[in-house]
Amino acid sequence: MDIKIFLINFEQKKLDPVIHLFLQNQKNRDLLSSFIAEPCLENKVRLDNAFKVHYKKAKVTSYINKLIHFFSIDFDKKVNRYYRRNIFLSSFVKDDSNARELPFKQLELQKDFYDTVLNDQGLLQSITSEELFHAIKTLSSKQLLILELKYSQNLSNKEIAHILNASPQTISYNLRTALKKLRTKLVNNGCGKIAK
Amino acid sequence: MVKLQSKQELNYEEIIRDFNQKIKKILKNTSVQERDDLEQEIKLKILEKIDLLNNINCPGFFDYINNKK
Repeated sequence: MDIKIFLINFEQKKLDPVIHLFLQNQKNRDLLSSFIAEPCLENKVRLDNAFKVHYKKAKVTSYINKLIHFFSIDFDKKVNRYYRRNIFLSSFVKDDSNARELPFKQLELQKDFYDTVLNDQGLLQSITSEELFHAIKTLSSKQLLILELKYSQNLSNKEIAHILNASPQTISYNLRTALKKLRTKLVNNGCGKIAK
Repeated sequence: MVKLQSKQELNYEEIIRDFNQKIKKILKNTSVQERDDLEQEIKLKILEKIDLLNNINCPGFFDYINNKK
């Protein structure tokens, strides 16, 4: 092949992301320069093979990235559709006793809720990391309650606000401080991995 | 980036390992109850597609440069 034509095309191609990334690797640059210096078949094949590997990596990476992205969106739509079309017993319960108020009443009845959160099922039971467990014990009862409602009961900030008779902003602020506190605790303990 | 083995064959476990973080991140888009299902389905889907990915037609360096002008 004519090396001049190749170089002209190559200059145009330089901005192409595939080529650009390919040439960021020193090995590949060496292969290319050795081919330009000495355009024999052997160098050409070596360059070709290196490029093929690179090209395949790029294709597979982008393919899987897209696959994960779009598949998760589709999955979410599918799940939502399923719940919309099928009526569940739980939705009846929610409807006739006003779900928003139900947890609140329960809370009022159950004054030792904090103790149950601490000793009982819920959030603390689901924690497997010892460091996180100790860190979480240092939080105030309110913060713990919010965490419990948020992550164990899976309620939204608005719902939690309603239950605790506070504004969603307060809940959001409390939640953030709690998470921040946990994070600093974990980092200080040398436990880089943060569970949430 | 995906690592390729010597024969340019893709290894499922390595792909899953490389993309684990991405998958974990994307799980946050769905509700907590569905996360396990989604994770499993994504992994299954990747497994299904491995053969297809293995048979990608890769152009050589010069084919690539000369083809798409």
